[in-house]
Amino acid sequence: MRRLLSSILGAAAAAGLAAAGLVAAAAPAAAAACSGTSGVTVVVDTGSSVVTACAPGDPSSGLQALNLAGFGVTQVATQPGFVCRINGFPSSDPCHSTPPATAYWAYYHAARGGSWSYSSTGAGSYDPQPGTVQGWRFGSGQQPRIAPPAPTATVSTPKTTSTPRTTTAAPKPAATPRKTTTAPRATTGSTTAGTTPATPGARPSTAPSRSATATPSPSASPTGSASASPSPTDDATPTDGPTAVASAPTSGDAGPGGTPLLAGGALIALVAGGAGWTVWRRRG
Amino acid sequence: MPRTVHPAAWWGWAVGLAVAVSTTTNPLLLLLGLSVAGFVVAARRGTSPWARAFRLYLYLGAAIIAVRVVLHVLVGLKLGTVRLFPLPEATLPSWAAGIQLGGDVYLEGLLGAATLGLRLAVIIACIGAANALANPKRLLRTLPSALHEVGAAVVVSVSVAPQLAESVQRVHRARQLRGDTARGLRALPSVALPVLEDTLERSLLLAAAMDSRGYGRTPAAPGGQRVGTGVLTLGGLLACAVGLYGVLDASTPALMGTPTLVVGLLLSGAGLWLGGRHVERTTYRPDPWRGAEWLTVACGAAAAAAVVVVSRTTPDALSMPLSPLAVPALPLLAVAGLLVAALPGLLTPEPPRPASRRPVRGAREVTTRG
Repeated sequence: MRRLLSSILGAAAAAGLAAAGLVAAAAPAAAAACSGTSGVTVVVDTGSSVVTACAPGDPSSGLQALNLAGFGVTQVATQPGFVCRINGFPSSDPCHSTPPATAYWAYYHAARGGSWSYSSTGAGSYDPQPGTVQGWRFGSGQQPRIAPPAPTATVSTPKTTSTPRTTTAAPKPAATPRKTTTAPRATTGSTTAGTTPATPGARPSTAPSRSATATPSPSASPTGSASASPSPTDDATPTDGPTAVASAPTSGDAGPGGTPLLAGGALIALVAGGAGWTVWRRRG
Repeated sequence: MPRTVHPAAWWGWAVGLAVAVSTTTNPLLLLLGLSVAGFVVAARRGTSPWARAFRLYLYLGAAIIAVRVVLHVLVGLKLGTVRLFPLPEATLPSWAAGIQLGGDVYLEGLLGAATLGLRLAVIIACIGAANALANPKRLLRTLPSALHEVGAAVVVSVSVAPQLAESVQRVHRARQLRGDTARGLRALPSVALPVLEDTLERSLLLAAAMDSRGYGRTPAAPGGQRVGTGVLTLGGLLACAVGLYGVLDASTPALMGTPTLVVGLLLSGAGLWLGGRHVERTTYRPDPWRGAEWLTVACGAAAAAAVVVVSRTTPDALSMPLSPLAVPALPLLAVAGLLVAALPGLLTPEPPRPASRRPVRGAREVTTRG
């Protein structure tokens, strides 16, 4: 428990630093589940660590939600739109052709506090509703190991922007029995991996309406992102996900400028011209 | 010394080139592969009807690219940052799979769709090149002798369509010479009957010719051996099918993959050999397999090997960089391999020119003049 708390604190500190660094008002990443019904919560599970972040506003597609939540996406080079790496993971895949069915990013969506459902459309064409959750799990199509974060009963008003600990520790659903207000288990419950049994309780029906005023502005400023990493590592390890994003590995060692274009074009013209000349010579 | 290169060699070359272009979406390499195929076809095709069909494959490829781009604009996944033109967007309800119609068109998505279409078009052009260069009748003659009767039937059916077209042309020309200028449906009875008669006469002639050369003669094979042949061939083909499935599906047990395929191939080979032992047949003027054939196959294999090596070492160079958009690279090894694939257009012997073409052309000139 102390480790969790310190992890959250460390995450909050790190993310707070990052937020301070990014003075841009649009606050690209809130390193936790979104507050209220605004924004799309994004859960990324690499199989060894889970990162939760919030894409503010209304992203038009699942890919844009990933970007807004601060994750860097590398696509398969021959299949545009196919997610190959998220935040550079897995780095072993060359991302040239489609990943195998045993090691790919499975895409789920869910309601807040609901249960995961495998997406039947691609992330580029699925338009997530604000206030829902998207899950990414690396592997052979399993669902993310944490349940979709429950709707948060935010105490914060949009005015209190920069205090790091305004929101409650939402992203850890059902693991802390002391939380009385949230009862996220919608009917079916029981996700496969790792979650503790559901805690009975009353669903806070008033919470969503109360926090409906929450604006996408940096209100839900970074709190910790709960990690379920099995190894007891240092505090700040899983938290740098949403911040260290922008360096998506660029592909292509294309030479500077258009020299390959010119050389290739000249070569193609040469061979095609040879074909045309041959046709003309054989006909004549 | 002009002679036709063995048709199987052309197929090997074309398959090698197709493998090479199928591993890349780099438009420079794709266009280079296309022009290489076009060059070899232009240099080494014969005068048969299918030799002139290469253009049709190019049209088919262009249609594929056009359909791919139009589908991308209509229902494709719009990705990218460089917006070309805005389009209204409509999302179908979830019971219609939630397909997204329209939407802003981005340069990256459009280029991606066009390069994917171009790749398929170039693969089809490679197959078209093989069709234009290799005479299918001669290819069927190289079948193993157990399949020889099937091959003969296929040859007869393959040559029906061109013969029918030629027959219609001849009847038409004869009618024009006699002053019969009826066109359209009214001309049908006066064309159909002679064509039918021509076809019957031709097939009787063919049957007589085949009969006199010993086709259809089945030497007595012991019953046990025939059953063995059937079991071997059928079992081998089944094992081949299962093995191919196992190779292509990664989730099947390993034993179902390559080992089953190899066993199946061996079994079918044994069945064909056993069945062919009793067919005594000679080939009229068999196509030789000499240095030119080896060279042709080796050039195709070199192209495939070069591109596969590049895909193992620098896979990024083989793809069109879309995010972020950039100029495609020009990997030297792949370019060299594709250029090697153009060598058969220069180094193989030229196809013979049939002497019978000139009188036909002269006769047509007379009819048009008169």
